[in-house]
Amino acid sequence: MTLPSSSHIVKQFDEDLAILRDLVLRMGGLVENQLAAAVDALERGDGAAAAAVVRGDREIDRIELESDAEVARLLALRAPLGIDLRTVLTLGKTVSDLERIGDEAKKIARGTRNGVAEGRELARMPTLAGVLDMAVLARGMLHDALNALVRLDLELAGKVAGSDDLQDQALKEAITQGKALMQSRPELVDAAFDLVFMAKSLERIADHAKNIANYVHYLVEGKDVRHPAARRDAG
Amino acid sequence: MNQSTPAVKAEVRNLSFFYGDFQAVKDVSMPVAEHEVTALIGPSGCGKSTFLRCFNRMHDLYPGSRYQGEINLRPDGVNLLDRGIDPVETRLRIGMVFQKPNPFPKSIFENVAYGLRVIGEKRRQVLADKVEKALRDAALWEEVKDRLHTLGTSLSGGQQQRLCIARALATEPEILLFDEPTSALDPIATANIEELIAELKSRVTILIVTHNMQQAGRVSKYTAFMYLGELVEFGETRQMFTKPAKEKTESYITGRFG
Repeated sequence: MTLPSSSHIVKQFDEDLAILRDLVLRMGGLVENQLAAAVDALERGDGAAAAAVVRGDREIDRIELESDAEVARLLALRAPLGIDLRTVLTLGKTVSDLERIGDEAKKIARGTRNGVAEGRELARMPTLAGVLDMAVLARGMLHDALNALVRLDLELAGKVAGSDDLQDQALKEAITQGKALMQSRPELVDAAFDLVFMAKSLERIADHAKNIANYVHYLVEGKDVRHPAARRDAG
Repeated sequence: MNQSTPAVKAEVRNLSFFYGDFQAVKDVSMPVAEHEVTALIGPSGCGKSTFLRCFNRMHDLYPGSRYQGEINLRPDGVNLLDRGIDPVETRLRIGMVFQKPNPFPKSIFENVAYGLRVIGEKRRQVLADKVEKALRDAALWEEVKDRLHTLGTSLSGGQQQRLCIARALATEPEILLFDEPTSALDPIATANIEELIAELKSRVTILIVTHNMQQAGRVSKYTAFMYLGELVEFGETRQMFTKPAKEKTESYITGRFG
């Protein structure tokens, strides 16, 4: 992440910010891995790999606690202003979204793990392809959102936000297909439900990636681009 | 800005100030919003105190000082820097509170009555009423009403500073200048002064020089950032402290130089 070229007079402030930044970037990398591993376990029907993803979420939660404490400490002790304030607020909010994405990845992995344990063959479901397409989009959006944050790239951030509509549309299709499958093959109702829930998780992940992309606008330009309707109401 | 543009109490136009050959303030232009607090920030030596002191012609007391440009006071349109203007009269309209509380070695009552006596007020009841009002406005009345005739210097630091504010308020100034008014005070006395500034702005327009960024953020609606005698940026405090327009401002408020 690029900050103003010169460093703070108080060097410890630079170090504090670097600690927070590193935590968030490490968390971003972990969350990306968790999501990739959850999707991979689903595709391969690998219950053990899915169980590992479920366990792995704990480390993400731990980093969230650590970075929240760091944010509180920075706000209390450094009283940041300008780019420092925007950086601390942006990183703090990014952490919340990353933690939620981690939770959604865990839900997908839990679905796979339980499916395998209970004999549902999700990997062979006809509706799996649509869910995997959604996973590709969600992973791409998360990756781009984190890159936009690191590079302060407004164009890339805009692209991420624009992709969210595609994901919403894909969820609607996944639900339609899931319902049709439940009607035509009642024996697959449980498995079809699992996949619809996973599609919902992937749609939520796209929302969180969009949030992160939107924070980049605040970080760079000081503009809050979220909730346009609410901002209009506020005048 | 959501609200309509506030009324302007003073308009600074192309103000420059020289100490002999040294130019301490360079071609500064900015409005001073009426009944609002405007903060002046910048590193030591940036000219912010010098700028502040132009408003009440404090520099006239030192030889070799020279003003250029104007400070146009509304609504009468008087240029405070006009040579024809009596600086003593100006100081009654533009009050000042300094960094260190500096009560006169006189009673509390006489400290506050001082400016009124300068303008020739002799009626005892009028003096008593105005002193009480000024002390009430400075949130000091309840603490001193039973000892108005003890020395002003016998008060605590925070009380002395409020006494100086009462002294400035007694002549009903239109603008109050604060030059780092809390830098010699403890946190509680500082909070009292900040609270007082928030209350006073409904009656008087306030300009404050402060080295404390958080204080500038808390008390002011507008902020001017000065550097090397120049006005680098002027704008709404909220905007300036979250997303200033100039890189120099951003570097200063985030503690990257100064």
